[in-house]
Amino acid sequence: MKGSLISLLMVVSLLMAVLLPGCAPSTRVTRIESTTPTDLSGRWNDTDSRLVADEMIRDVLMRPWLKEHVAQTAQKPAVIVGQIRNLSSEHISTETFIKDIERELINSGQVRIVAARDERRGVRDERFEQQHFASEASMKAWAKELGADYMLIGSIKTITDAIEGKQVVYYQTDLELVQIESTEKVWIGSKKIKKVIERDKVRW
Amino acid sequence: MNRLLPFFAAAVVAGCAALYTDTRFHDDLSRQIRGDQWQAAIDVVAKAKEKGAYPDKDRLLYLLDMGALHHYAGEYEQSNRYLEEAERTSEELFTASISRAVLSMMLNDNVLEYRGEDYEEIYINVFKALNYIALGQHDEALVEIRRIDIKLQLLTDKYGKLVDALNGAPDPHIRFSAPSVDFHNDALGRYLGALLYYYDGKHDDARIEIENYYRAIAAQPQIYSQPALELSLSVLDTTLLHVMAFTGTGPEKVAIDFRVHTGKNHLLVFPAHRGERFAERFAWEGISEGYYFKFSLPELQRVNNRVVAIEVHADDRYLGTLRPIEDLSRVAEVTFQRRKSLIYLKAIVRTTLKGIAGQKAKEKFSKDDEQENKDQQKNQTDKEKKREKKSGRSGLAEWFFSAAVDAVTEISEQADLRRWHAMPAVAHAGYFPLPEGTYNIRLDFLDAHRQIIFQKFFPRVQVQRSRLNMVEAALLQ
Repeated sequence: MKGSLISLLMVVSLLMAVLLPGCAPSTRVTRIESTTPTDLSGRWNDTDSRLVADEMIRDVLMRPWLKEHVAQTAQKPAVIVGQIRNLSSEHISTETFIKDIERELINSGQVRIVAARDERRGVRDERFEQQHFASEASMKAWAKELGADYMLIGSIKTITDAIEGKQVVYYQTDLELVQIESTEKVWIGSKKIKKVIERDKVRW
Repeated sequence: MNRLLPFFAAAVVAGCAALYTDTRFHDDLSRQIRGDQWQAAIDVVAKAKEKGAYPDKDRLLYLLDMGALHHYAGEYEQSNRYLEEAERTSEELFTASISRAVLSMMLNDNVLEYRGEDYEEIYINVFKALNYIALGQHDEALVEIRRIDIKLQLLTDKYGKLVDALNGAPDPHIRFSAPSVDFHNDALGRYLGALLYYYDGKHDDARIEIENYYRAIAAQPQIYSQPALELSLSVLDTTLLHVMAFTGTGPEKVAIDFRVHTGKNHLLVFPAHRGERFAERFAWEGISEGYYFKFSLPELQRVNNRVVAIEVHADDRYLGTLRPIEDLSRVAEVTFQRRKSLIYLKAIVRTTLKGIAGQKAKEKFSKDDEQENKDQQKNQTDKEKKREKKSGRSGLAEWFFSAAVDAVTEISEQADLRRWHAMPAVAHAGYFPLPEGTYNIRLDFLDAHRQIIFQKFFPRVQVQRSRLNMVEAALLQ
C-alpha cells in the first residue's frame, strides 16, 4: 500500500506542477547594451543588420570609385540609398537596414547622403509651407536640392536547408552602387551570413 | 489516509480543466462564424480566452482563430500580428514537454500542448500571404510563399520515416500501419506562389511553382481528384482579375466511446455503439482475461457546406464560376487518419494499463480491508462485532473506494476535441480576362438549389496589366 501511496502522490504532484498556471514565472525585464548580440529565434535581427551594414560600407568606401569621383569633381559624392528588396524567407525590416547603411555612410564623412523619396516629400511639404508662413529671410528656396550622383540598391536573399529540429539559413546581402547619370555600376558588394538553428526536441 | 487518495485524485481529475476540451463556447462561435458575423466571432473568442477556455497549452489555437477571423473581417494587419505570433508559437512548441507527454500517457491527450497540425502550419502562411496581397505588400507575400516551400520540403522528409520508427520500437505491443501517402505538398500554396512570382517578373520561379502545383495534385490523389484550375505561364500572360474565396467550416471533432475487453493474451477493442461483433483484436502478451474498460477517441465529422458554387460578375456582367482549388477539410481528414493510428494505439495502451492498475488497487483494498476486519474482530467484544456488522461500514467503504478508482479512470479518459474553429472547408479560385479598367465586382454564393445565399461587392476594383489584381471573400456557412 505504501508503494501505491507514493505513486499516487507522484502523479498528483506532477499534475499540480504541469496544470497549475499560477506556477509560471512572472515577466522579467533586463536592460542590455543595444550592441550586445541577442539571438533568440535564429532569425535575421538587429545584430545581423548592423554587422552587414558596417562591413559593406567599409568595403564600398575602400574601393576606387570614391577616389576617382573626388579626383574628377573635387567634391564628395552624393549618394542616395534606393530600394533594398527583401527576397528572403523572413520578414526583414529593410527600413532598419537602410538606416544602418545611411548612418555608416554619413558617419564616414566621405560621402553626402540625399534623403530618400518619402523623406523628400515631407521636406518639400515643409518648404511649401515656408513660402506662405515663414519670414522672407528664413524662407528656403525651391530647386536647390542636392541631386544624388550615385544610387545604392540591393537585396537580401536566403537559402534554407532544414531537417526536423535543425535549420541552416544562409543570408546573402548584395548591394550595388550605380552612377545615376551613366547607369554605370561602380561597385558591387556581397556579404554572407550562415546560421545554424537547432531546436531541442524535448524539454521538461 | 491512503484510502482517501483515490477520492482526492478523483476530485483533482474531475475539477481540472486541462483534462477535457472546453466546448462551452463552440456553439456560439460556430453560430457567429456561420452568420458572417466576424466581429462578433472575434468577441466570442476573446471572451472565451478571458474565461480560460484557451489555456496556455492551447495558445496556438487562440492565435489561429483570431488570425483567421481578423482576416475574414478584412483586418489584415491585425490578422498578420496574430498569425506571426502563431507561427512563432508553433516553432516554440516544436520542443515537446516531457512532463506533459508523461501525463498524457497517464491521463489523456488534452493535457498536451496543442502544437498544430502540419496543414495548419501551411495555412498560417497561406493566410499571411493573402493578407500581404490585400495590403499591397507583394515582397512580404513572397516571403510567406518561400516559407511554405521550406515547410513542405520538411514534410516530405518527415513522414517517410515515421511508420518505420514506430514499428522498429523495441518489443511493441501492437504493430500498425499508416496510410502510405501523406499531405506533403499544397496546391493552394503553390497556386498563390505561382501568381506572386509571375507578377514579380520571376517567370522561372513561377514555372517551378506551377510544376509543383500539378505535382501536388498528382502525388496526393486522396486529397486532390484532378486539377480544378488549369495554370500556365501563357494563361497568366494576359490582363486578369483573380478571385479567391473560402467557404464552409472545417470538420468538427466529436468524441466516440470505445470499449476494451481483455482476453487471454489479447484485447478486443470496439466502438461502444457498434458492439463486440465489430471488435478489433490486438495481441498483448501476458494479459489476463475478464477486464472491461472504456475510453473516448476524437473523430472528424464533416460540416455541411451550403455553398456549392460562386459566380463572379464585373459591372453586372457574368464572368464565370470559381473552382474548388483545395478541400481543406479533406486535407484535415487525411492528416487525421495518419495521426489516428497513433492516438488509437496510445489510448488503448493507456486505458488498459490504467484500468488494470485500478482493478489491482481495488483488489488490494478489498484484501487489506478483509485483513483489517479480521484483526479488529480479534480485539472486539461480541457486542461490538454485532454493531459493526449491522452498520455495513466495511462494504460501503469498499464500494466508495471502487467508485473513486473507476471515476479517476473514466473521467481521465476524455477525447481531445481541440481544433481550429475558423478554418474554412474549401478554397475556391479563378481568373478572368478583362480589359484594363475599373470594375464593380460582385460574387454570388449559390446553394444546391442555385439560390443566391450571399453576395459580396467590391466597388471600383482596378484591373491593370502585369499586376496581381485580386479580390477575396469568405462565407463559412
